[in-house]
Amino acid sequence: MHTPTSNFLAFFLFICGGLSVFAQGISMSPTRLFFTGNPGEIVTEPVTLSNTSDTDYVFNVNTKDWEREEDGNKVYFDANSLKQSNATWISTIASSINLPANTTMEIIVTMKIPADASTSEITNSMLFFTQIGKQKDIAQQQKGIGIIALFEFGLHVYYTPVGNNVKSLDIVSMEELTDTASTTKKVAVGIENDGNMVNDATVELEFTNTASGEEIKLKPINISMLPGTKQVVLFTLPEGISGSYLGVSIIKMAGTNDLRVGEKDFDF
Amino acid sequence: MKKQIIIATLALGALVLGTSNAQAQTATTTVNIILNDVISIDAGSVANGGLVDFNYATAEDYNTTKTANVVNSLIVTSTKNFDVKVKADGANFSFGSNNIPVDVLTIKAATGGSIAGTQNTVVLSTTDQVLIANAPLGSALTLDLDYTIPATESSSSKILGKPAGTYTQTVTYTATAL
Repeated sequence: MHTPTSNFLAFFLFICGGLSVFAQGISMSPTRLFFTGNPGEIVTEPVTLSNTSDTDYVFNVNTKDWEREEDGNKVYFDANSLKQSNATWISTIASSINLPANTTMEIIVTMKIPADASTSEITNSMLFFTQIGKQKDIAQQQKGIGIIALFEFGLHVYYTPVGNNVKSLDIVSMEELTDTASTTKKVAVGIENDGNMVNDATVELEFTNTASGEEIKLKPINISMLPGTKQVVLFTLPEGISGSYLGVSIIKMAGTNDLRVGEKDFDF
Repeated sequence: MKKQIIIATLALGALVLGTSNAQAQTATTTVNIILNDVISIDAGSVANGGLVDFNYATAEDYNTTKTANVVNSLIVTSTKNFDVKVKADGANFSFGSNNIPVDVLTIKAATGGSIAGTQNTVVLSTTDQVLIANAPLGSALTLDLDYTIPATESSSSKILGKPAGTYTQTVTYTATAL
């Protein structure tokens, strides 16, 4: 006989079982490293790789530079090719990592801050843990094209000078985008990081019909911006929107109660 | 006898008092929940030493667009929004000294997965290209992929006329926090 208690217990065990299945894999924590210190100092931060699967993995450790385009896309470059790169400042003990099945490994990332490092500018790079294929990972067939799929994690590495503590974003534009090839309407919110720290934020946009009072709240979009950069956040409007609306964009910055609010009238 | 009664009474009194004291004690436990950012790729992901094969055995094969739908190509858990990029580790699918350029292959997110975000169709190259941009955080998010080699490519000199064999290349999927 199934009592409510036994049903709950069965459901609980099912959920736990499901979670344990989902949890099997390779994980990296944290996903971003923030270093700080004075020029000439050596600082360290740990990153943990866990292998909760029954398979052994080997990872190559390598670095690249990156910068974010205005649409938010990260673009990678060779290490030490960008002005704000810190790729040559960071190192790990080994250039490859063996991660046996069911093990967790803490990897120390060391940053040697150059003596002539800027005391005001943030630097960044990306540290990659790239899966190395095994001998058995070969295509199976005799005639054709075989794709061997592997994966890698990218770990953000930031250096923030000790004196940098201003978190600030600014809304610099709110524009409707016209695309003659599409009936979909979009509004672009332009944002500038006018502080001197990496800034994570959620951008919201809502419209109020000035005649009927109807409110439309669009799905918020998360962003992360380096100081001195601009980003354009695109919101797709509902199909068939028409009339006069007051658009209000709100930026909620992580780690602070500060808000940024922008308003603009739109005629769709 | 009287002495024994007195001792028993004292012992009982001590026991009762002791119990009372124990009941009166208050224990305080501080529970800390420590959250760390984490990103993981499930071992069940096909992008995990997985193999995708296209077989060209007949004339019809060369004149047909072939699509391999791979369910659960990626299973990602992330505590922050994330991106998935894809790149080939070399410019060609290679069989000995024979090559087929990797741009014959198109990869796109198929319907059915639970990873949201902006999904792009990618013509494979050695450059990191965005497959999924700003995907919302979540647990055990799945990405199903369609690997396609169009007939225009398989019937061209890029593939047609190449020596028989298995041409392979590694494709790497990169997951990073936003």
